[in-house]
Amino acid sequence: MWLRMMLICFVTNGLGAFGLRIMSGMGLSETFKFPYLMLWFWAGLILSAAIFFSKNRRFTKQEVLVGIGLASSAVLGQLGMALSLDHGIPGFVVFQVAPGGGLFLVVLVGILFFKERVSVYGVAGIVIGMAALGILTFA
Amino acid sequence: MHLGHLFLGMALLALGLIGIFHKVADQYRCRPRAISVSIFFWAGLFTTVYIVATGRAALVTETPGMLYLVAAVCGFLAAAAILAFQAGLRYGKGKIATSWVVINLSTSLPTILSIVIYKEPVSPWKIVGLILVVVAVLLLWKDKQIDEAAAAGLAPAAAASSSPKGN
Repeated sequence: MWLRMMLICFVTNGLGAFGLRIMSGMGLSETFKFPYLMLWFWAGLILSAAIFFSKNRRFTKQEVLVGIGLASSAVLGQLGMALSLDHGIPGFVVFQVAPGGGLFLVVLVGILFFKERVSVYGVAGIVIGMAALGILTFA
Repeated sequence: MHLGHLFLGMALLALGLIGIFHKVADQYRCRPRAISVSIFFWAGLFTTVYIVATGRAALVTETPGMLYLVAAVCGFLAAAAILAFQAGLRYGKGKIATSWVVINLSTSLPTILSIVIYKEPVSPWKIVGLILVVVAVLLLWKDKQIDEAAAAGLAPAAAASSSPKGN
């Protein structure tokens, strides 16, 4: 079931991110990046809300607080990358360091702080995955 | 160190925190559907406030209709991705160290689509990178199988030790 969910996530997340490439292909990235992001978030809310409110009515305090944390991080991440590009950091540095460093941070926190056990295969998968992302960014 | 580096550091930390908050959501047994609504509501609100505060509100009405459509479809897909990721974390014993790698590897899909649709040039390195993505996902799956085998091995032992003798 984990693999099935992760494959669904892999495909939908990848296709969801492809909109940025379509916008770039239309030559609209510079001007409409933030309006696009806003519309993207509100569209995501429509689907999520339709699914949630069909069976549920209330949120727990944790769900609201974690949602605020996730949303702030997502917006600050996008803003940080956009502003660092505006301040002269080259794109190949920004698009490598921010997501790559973020990924490294998550793996580190998962293993050291949350004491997650990762097998040799898992470690190899993490290292090869990071290498793959590095290659795809620079290639 | 100049301001650009500071913003880059902020981006790195924020993108890392997304993964960590997903783990926290799993720890607190937050429902995937509720988390998805909460993320998109707050992120939509924050972005709207940023657009209005920076005087870009007029841009929203000037946005081409086609871009509305693209944003709507991709936003729907992103919501589905969050639901699947949170559900997957539940089944994956909440292992963010490996699950978060998979979601990051999904950026290879836009690369493939860019090659197919926009005829972007394919360098040998890009092919190596895409092959490594598949290898990494397979290794992470193997890691998950080891977890499941270990859990299956422990479960009968735990059941046997908890059942009274003579039963």
